[in-house]
Amino acid sequence: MAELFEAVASWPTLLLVLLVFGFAPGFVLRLLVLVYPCTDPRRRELIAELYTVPRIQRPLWVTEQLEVALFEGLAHRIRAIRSITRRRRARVQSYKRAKRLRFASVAVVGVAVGVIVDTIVTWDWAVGIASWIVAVAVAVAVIVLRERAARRRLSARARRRFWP
Amino acid sequence: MRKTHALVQVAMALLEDPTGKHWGYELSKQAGVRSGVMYPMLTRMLDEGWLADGWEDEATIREKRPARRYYELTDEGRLQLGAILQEARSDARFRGLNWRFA
Repeated sequence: MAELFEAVASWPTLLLVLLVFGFAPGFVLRLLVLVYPCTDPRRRELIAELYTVPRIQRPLWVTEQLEVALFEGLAHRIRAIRSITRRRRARVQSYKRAKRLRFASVAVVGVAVGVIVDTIVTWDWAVGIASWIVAVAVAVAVIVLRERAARRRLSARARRRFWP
Repeated sequence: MRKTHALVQVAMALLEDPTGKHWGYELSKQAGVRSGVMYPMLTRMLDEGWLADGWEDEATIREKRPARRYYELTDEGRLQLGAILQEARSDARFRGLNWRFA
């Protein structure tokens, strides 16, 4: 009997009790709630609820939360990741579409300018080629300048989204 | 929402105090439903508009703990859960339940 008392009242037992009922529940729960997306209110809710659970029941209650976190939190996180990916893909696609449209409109304007200059100024083939080169150069310069201006306008965050 | 023992038990617990605030852990104790079942159910009820949620006012907390999230029944929730309980009363599957809600 004395040995039993000694074993129960020993330092390792005290440390084990402190770990299981004091430190571990909060620590493990804080790790578990990381499964939820950071915007999910369940993260805060579960941590706040822990302190209303009687200390003796906390280890078991935290173990129960593993089930909640795996089945509910993981599903929420996967849904959140999918929606972010879908949104990002849509943004990139719309950006690419806008870029193609801009390129097409500037190219059309450049070629039109080339044809007009070519027609009005002279029918000489050398001048015609020169005017075409000038038109293409103007179109490329306009595209490059517009792209630079667009890039400058975008915030760092938006830039990360558009040019991942 | 599928009518299960857990749903009926949670409905009974919520309708014991239809206008009051309900807290997650206390609700699971009151209903006798594991939190692994109850929290997903609360989420579905919130999505359906049967429950509204909020956070405890930190100024009213006396203990050293963070603010808890509470759940309140909406009018729609009271109606729907009342109807579920009415149906469950006449259902043979739920005869074994302890009917506290009148």
